[in-house]
Amino acid sequence: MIKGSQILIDSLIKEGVDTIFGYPGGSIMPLYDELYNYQEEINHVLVRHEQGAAHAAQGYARASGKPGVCMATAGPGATNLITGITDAYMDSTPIICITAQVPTDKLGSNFFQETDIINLTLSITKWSYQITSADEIAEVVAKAFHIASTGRPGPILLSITKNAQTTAIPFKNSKKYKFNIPSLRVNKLRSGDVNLAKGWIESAKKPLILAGQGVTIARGEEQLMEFAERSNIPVSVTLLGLSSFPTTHPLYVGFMGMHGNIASNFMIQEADLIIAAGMRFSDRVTGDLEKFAPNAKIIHIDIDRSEFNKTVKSHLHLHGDVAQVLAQLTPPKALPQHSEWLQFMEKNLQKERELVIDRLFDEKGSNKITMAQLVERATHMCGGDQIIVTDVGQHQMFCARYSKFTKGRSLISSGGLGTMGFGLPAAIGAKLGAPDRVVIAVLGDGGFQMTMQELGTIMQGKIDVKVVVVNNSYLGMVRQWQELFFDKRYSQTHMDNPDFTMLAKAYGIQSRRVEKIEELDGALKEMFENDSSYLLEVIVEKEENVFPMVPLGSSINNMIYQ
Amino acid sequence: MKKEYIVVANVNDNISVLNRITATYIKRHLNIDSLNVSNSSKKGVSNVLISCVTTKESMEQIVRQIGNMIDVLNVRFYQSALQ
Repeated sequence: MIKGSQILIDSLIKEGVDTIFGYPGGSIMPLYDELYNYQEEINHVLVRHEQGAAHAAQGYARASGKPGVCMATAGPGATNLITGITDAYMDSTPIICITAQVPTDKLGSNFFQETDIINLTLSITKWSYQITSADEIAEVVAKAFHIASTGRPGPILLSITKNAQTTAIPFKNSKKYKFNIPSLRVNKLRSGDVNLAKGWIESAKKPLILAGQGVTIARGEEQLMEFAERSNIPVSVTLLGLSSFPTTHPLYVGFMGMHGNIASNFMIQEADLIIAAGMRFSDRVTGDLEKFAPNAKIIHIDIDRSEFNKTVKSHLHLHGDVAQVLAQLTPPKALPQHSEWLQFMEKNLQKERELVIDRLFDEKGSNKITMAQLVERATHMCGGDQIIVTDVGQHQMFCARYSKFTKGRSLISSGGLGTMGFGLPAAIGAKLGAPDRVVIAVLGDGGFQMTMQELGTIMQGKIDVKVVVVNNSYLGMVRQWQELFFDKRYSQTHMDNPDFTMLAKAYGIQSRRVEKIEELDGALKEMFENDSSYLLEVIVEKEENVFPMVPLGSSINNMIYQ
Repeated sequence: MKKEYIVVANVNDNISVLNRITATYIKRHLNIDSLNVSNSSKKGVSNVLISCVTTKESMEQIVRQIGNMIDVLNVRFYQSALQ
């Protein structure tokens, strides 16, 4: 006879789980009691708030490509996961969230710590299930992992009642489950569609690839490179598509959208063919939909049918795994260069250097540090090999614009939901998901303070995360909008901050504060040479703005440069 | 232009499928005019019928999103003949 709690943990191990982020509590105690027997097999990371567990599971999934697992008790434990679940839903991240529930016979009675978590998370999960008896567990867990990682990934919520955890049943965990779920099926592409796309690619004069996170999810970095090089087509990326194509590649145009690179946005508006690979044309990418890419035929490749024609209407959509579709579209022999088009790209890259970049890196005037300098130097020092995990705001956009990336899965950021507080716990998860890589959490002073209790998780787990707090004593992005669109009325955006280096010291984490540009390289070097976690507080220009910027609802080539 | 549309779906007869489907309407601030769920001729499969007044574009997107749900076997929509 085996108890439900043991069946659950055995089923997780069967799925390859070796790390769980979680927090114990009343209804989940039987599961934690069982976990005590599995300390060799499972590294349970005790977070300081359940929101941290969900974000850490996201960071783990994004860095490793495997589903992340988090666990919380019923009621407040479960509701604290909701921000992370929503974030994972918006950014297609496979996470399995296990929450305890009150005993089955008490459901619906407002029992102590009861929440209807299934109902609360219906619209933010790919699938959810309430387990009420031990004999359901093994199959449901297998199904959860299958669904989370098949097709477009997403979060799964499993709510398990206390009695299902404690009941013992006769059980052998050797069964292999197979699932055939209609909504996850992908048909083979029609050869007519593939040939049509190939014809357009061959005859295009100004083609452009827009690469999104779908490329990373499909592990299609190589296929993207092969397709771009063979077809000689420049590549522009979305926020979550960053690092799916090396930023050092001659065909790399840059990041697109509201704070995108000038060349990306102008090339989108000028292109005669757009190949959108694993991206969803979010409003931050398209700006004014009516005016988006007016001259282009659009080929949209995605694993999720519901993304086709949702915002931007495509001329051809190819439903499937992005890596496989790109491989099918790759010409057998290299296509000729589009030299005029590449000149247009170079002209716009030069325009950006003159109008925006040179000014940020000019050290003659002031010895203050800009966010752009910080990000550029940190990632160059790592040779582009590091993982950057960001929070949300100005520093996030600077990370997107000025980081060097030479490897895939190197930018982990909250895109769709824009969750402040995401960065620190996600970095913890990323380090555990990719232990051999340097993980830098770049956080603003606002976002850091939303989840800074996770310094305790770093301390207890001895997790080597390099934390860079970019401190301008403002909620910088909101302040920038107030400056540009609200007549400089800085309503509730200034922050009096504590001494972050002392806070790190309280947690036994080595720390340093820098304010002058001449100190920056030395401090970064010290941080990277330190063989454990480190907190570097960088005091930056108080009122730095992220430019260029496309005002909300404008066409994406209507950019403010300074 | 807004018209009455009827969604017809075959779904697994599981708890919460119905709420997951109706949540798609709520998210778009749409009011459901009529709703019927019944057993189908196949064991474990239910038929869901929902009518709602909206635009064709929003109906197309709702139906695609419903079609993505794990417990939905198939879904289609029709314009109501009664108008």
